[in-house]
Amino acid sequence: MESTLIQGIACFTAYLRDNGFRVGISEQQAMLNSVMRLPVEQYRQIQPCWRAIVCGNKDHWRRYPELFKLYWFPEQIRGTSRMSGTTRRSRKLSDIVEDMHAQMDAANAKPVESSLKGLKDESASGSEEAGDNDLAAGGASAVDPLAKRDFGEWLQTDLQQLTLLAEEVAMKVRKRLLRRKQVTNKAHALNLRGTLRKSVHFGGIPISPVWQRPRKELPNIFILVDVSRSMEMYAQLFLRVARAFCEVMQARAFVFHTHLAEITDMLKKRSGRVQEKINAVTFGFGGGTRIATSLNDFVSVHVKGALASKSIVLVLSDGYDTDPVEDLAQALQLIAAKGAKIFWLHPSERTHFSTSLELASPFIKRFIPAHNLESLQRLPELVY
Amino acid sequence: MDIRAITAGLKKVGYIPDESLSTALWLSTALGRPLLLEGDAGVGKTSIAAALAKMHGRQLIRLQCYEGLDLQQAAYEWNYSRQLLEIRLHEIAPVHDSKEFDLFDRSYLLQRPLLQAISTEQPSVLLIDEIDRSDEAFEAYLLEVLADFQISIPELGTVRATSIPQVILTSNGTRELSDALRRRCLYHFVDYPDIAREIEIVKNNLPGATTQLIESAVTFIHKLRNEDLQKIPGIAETLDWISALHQLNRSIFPDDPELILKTMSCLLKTKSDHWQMSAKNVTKLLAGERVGETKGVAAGLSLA
Repeated sequence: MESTLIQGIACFTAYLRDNGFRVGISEQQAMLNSVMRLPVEQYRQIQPCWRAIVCGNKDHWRRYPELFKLYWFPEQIRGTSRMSGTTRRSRKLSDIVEDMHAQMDAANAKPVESSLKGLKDESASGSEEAGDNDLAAGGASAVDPLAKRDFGEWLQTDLQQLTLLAEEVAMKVRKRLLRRKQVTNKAHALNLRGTLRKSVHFGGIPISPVWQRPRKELPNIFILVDVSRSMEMYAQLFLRVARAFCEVMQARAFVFHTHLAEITDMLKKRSGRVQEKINAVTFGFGGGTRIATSLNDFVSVHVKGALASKSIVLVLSDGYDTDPVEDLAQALQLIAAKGAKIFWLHPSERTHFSTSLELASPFIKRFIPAHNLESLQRLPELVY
Repeated sequence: MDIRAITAGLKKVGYIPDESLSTALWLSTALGRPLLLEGDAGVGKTSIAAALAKMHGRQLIRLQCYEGLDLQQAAYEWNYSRQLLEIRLHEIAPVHDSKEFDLFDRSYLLQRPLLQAISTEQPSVLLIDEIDRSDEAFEAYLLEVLADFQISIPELGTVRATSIPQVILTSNGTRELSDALRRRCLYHFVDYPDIAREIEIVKNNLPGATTQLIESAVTFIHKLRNEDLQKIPGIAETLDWISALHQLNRSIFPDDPELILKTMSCLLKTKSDHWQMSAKNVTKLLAGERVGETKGVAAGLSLA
């Protein structure tokens, strides 16, 4: 009886998963449960109910109403086109729910277990199918894998996916940086409460002291994104990467071409006005790329005092500088002298060294190619 | 209790919910799952838990999270001084009876908010406030409590809940929470209220203020929220500001931008926001114009 509803939920959750939602079996069960508990006359509340179940963050929360409408009430959406390959629904949500409640009343049966079993079976068979498809998909393909496609060839729609992946990369880097133990010659402080607790075993005599565990602290991370004309194609992507780092790792982000400006606060706010603000910040910078001047500005004004021995500076630039060739090396030397590690992310597979970059290379810990997603995913191994 | 009853109940205790919040609260009760509330500071996340407890007549148990919060402060702790005292007494005085005394008995256990919440006779409302401020290790520990409502104490065994509390978690989004925690919770994003709801909230909280003052002030704040501010004023700020105007014996909204500016310290909480707001900009806002409209030219930096 409720197989139509189960099928509806399964298809809807698959649709949500395609749109980046993390919806699993337990969410499907909760969705079904909520429908069963909701009085039939309140079926309109299903939308907010399911929203609370399937959304996991603000982004999902904002996108959900539109996706719900697109899926269940496509006739209400004007000016949109149906994507090929989506499952066609033969009935409306309200009909399905009403029908299910009517049948439930009539049968007074044991709906939850059986329906959930059905849901699991269906989901399992769905995953099997997916597995089969995966197997069948092996071999030659006419489609470029997104991971290997150059960032310059990415479409606007791919960028949304990139945000998620950039966040994943940032999380991986974070774990890696947290895992690392710093050697210190400073003695640990005594954990009095812990020592007291352990001394209970010895009748109150503190025989085995307990020491405070060193706190795991993230190094200060600074990201400098080149937004000059030559980087136009990559700036949007690199700013997304910078935003992921700001959100996940409390990094500080800067943009530069002839001047440098901090944009951390702007990136932290996920609003459509970020572009407007960054435009406003970079407006009037003029043409050209003055990397050395910007880096000097960075070290002597913006992060004065914040740059310490554990700091990591990621420069996302192609390295084409209009400053005198030796200036870049001097600027990087200043940063390196503070003990910070400099990583240069280059938007091409093979680093085309400019003379200034060549001279500055002794102060750069590593050049990392960041021309496609695959190279970006190697970031956790290469940083630190 | 259905969705409408929750809306009515919350209104009765002074919290004006929107429909989606009532639905999320109903669902949280119906499915017995914790509810994670996310939103900017000052939109009323913490008050939801307080209102919920008041509505149900339940005890509100609050766990304020912070960096370095550990098990001893959140779940339980042994009363070490009492244990040591007992050992000393045992050494000095002859044993009262031959029975061995147990140092790790429940009577030596100090209950902290998590244990307290699952040990009460009547179900309580457990508020885990600002979970994003706690460490990841604590977040991982919380998974057991939220999923099974039980706490494992090595010396005692597993303490299962005598009553299932309604759990509300709040987060300001200062750090990304783990997927594991998010998946154990229902989610609701608490946004700034629309004008009508905010007017209702202010009327409810400041019954002495005139309708004209409230309506004009709330409309002004909504315009202000569209500006490029570092810290957007929340409901708490709205209440403070209108209360301040009311205390200044204003029954109607002042049209003098200088006076408005003087009282705007209730609304603007950062240096840059203060600098941005001048008498001229306030006049613009009063006239319904945007203050911070910019026309940018930098190429293709769309992040929307």
